[in-house]
Amino acid sequence: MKQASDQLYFDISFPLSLKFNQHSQINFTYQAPKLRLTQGIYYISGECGSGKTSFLSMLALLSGSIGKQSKRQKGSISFINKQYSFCYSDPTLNYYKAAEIRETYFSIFSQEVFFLPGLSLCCNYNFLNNNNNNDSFSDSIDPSSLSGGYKQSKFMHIILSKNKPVWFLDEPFNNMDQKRISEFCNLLEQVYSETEMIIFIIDHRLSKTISDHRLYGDPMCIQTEKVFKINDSEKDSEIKLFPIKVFKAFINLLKS
Amino acid sequence: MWEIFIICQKMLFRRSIRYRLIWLIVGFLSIIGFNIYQHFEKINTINKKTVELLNNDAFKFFFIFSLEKKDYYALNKKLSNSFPDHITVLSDIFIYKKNLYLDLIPIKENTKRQKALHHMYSMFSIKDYVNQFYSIDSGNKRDAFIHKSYIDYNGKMIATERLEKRKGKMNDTIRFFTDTLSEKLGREQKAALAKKQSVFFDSIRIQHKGNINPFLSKIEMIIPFNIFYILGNISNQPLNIISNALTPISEDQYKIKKKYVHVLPENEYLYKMAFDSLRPKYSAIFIKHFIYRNTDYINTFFLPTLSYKNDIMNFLRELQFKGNYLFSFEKLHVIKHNVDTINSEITHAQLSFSIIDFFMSLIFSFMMSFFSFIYLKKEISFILFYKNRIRQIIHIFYISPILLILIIKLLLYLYFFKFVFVNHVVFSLISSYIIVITLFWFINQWCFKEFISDQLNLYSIYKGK
Repeated sequence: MKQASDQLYFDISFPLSLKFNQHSQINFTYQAPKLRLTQGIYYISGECGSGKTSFLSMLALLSGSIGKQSKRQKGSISFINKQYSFCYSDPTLNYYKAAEIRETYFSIFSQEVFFLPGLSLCCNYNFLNNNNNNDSFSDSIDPSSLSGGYKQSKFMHIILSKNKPVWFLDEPFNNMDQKRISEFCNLLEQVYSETEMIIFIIDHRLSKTISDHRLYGDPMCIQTEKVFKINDSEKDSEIKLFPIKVFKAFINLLKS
Repeated sequence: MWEIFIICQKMLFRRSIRYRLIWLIVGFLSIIGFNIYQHFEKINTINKKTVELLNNDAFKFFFIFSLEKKDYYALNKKLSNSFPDHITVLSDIFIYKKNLYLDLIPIKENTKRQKALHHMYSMFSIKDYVNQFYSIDSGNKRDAFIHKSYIDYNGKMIATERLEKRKGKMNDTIRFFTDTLSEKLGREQKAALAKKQSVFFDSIRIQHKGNINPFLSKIEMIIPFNIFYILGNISNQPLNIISNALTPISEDQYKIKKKYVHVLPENEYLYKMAFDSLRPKYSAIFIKHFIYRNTDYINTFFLPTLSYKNDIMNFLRELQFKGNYLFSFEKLHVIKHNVDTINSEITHAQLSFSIIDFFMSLIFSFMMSFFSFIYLKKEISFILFYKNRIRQIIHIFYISPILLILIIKLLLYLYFFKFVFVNHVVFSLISSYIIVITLFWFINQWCFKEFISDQLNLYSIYKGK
């Protein structure tokens, strides 16, 4: 693992709460009141429905209360980088600034591969990357005509940018064959070695291997509690964040 | 901005939903357009009625009866003093045995009275006739010709055949006058003369057909005053001149050459028997702007409604109730009814148009915005993962519907631009539009509130929740 930088990290104060609607919400608690996620790769594992994506979406400013909306909540998230620091519960932060932060700092690889309808792959790329001179995509390719794995690969190509220091990868290897996983790992390796980054990867494939392996750091266990007020029921679970200490070995593990 | 606009349009008009959207736009814009078109047509029809009402001279003239001569003069004076700016009193008008007796004066000066006379001749459609009535001899300006003495009240000449039939009877009557007036009359002779007079007037009554002004229906015939001048001077004229003059076969034959100064009404014939029997007298009053368009736009909400001079209306009604028989009293009711009907039609048309236009515009804008949110929420959410374009997106879906409405309104306005009445409709079009675009700003914000709230849930929308 590279030397942790003081200039790029997330500070999370618990308990965090994500309200979906009036009837359901999910609470995140941690053994300590604060958790700092510094530069590096975090492998996130947990059961299905344990709240991994919800947790990640809060970090990525896709879900949760921000600015004035979050004033009653106890926990909060701060994102600090070289230029600025943003506290998600800062009253001056609003939906517009949140979108600005996402555009500038975050690359979000969603579970579901998606392209803007009615536009070719090239148009998708050009629009999302402010680039009009891309030769990687043919202008005529309709994304809906592609296979699942190919779509995922192209989607990855379009939305992942090495200029953005934080990558959120939510189950990126679904539908991908070994060759494309290998290509992705090479890309990850190259980008990670060149710039300071925080990368979050949610995956189910390697969770047992990683949790058993001593080369990886001790997991940070975040307790999740889903509260459904309609059924008056609660569901407890746990998500684990594994900081990857040995990057090379992790890449090899992914490739295998 | 244009890039995101084009992308939004491409996504919105993608193959799977484009027909739904097109039918939505076509449907709503058709309703909005049809409503505006129908309103323009309706207002156009009402406007035609309004113009007809405003221009009908019959609604500007009233004939007020005075029993005594002194009442007649007192009334004329009172009318002139009470409404000096609005009423022009035209005296020397007679209605006798359903015949109207006018003084035909060529209109040369531009005075108030002359203008009023002009309107009166127009009312009876004898404006052209009046100008022909006196044809000044160019060689001798002191001489004038009186011709075409008999016309009906719509300014049409009486048919030659009818005049021919009447000629014999009239010649007999005139001979009788000539003979009688030249002698001293006894009681029986006077009675016989009176009888002959009534025969004379009955003989010149005719039945009228065709396109006539219904508001003049009580008057059967217009007879110029000059006929009394002729009658009054019969005793001084050789019989053959009079007889020849009343044989209007050719242009030359039915001219009566007289000194111009004598063809104007003079006191001389006031004391003649034939003329004196025409008592009682009527005062003809002319009110140029008795009915007028309201210019008090604030109180009338910019509606092109009509009003009438209420003080004059009340004055005339009081006159009627006090015993001054108003020959055209029913016209007051007709005016009131017509003005109320037109105002009611205008208000009703305007109200129904404004309500439909306002709600259809608002619903159309809302549907467009809501349709866009429903079908593009995942796409917009996806865009916001990577791009900060929310303000542009909100503005695009705000501007697009109101621009379409504006285009429809503008096209229809330009189509009807040639009509004057559109100026009145423009206010409601603009005001309705301004209210719609103001309200739609908040509605549009509400439609897209998932994206412009500090309670972020982009991932939920993205996952289809």
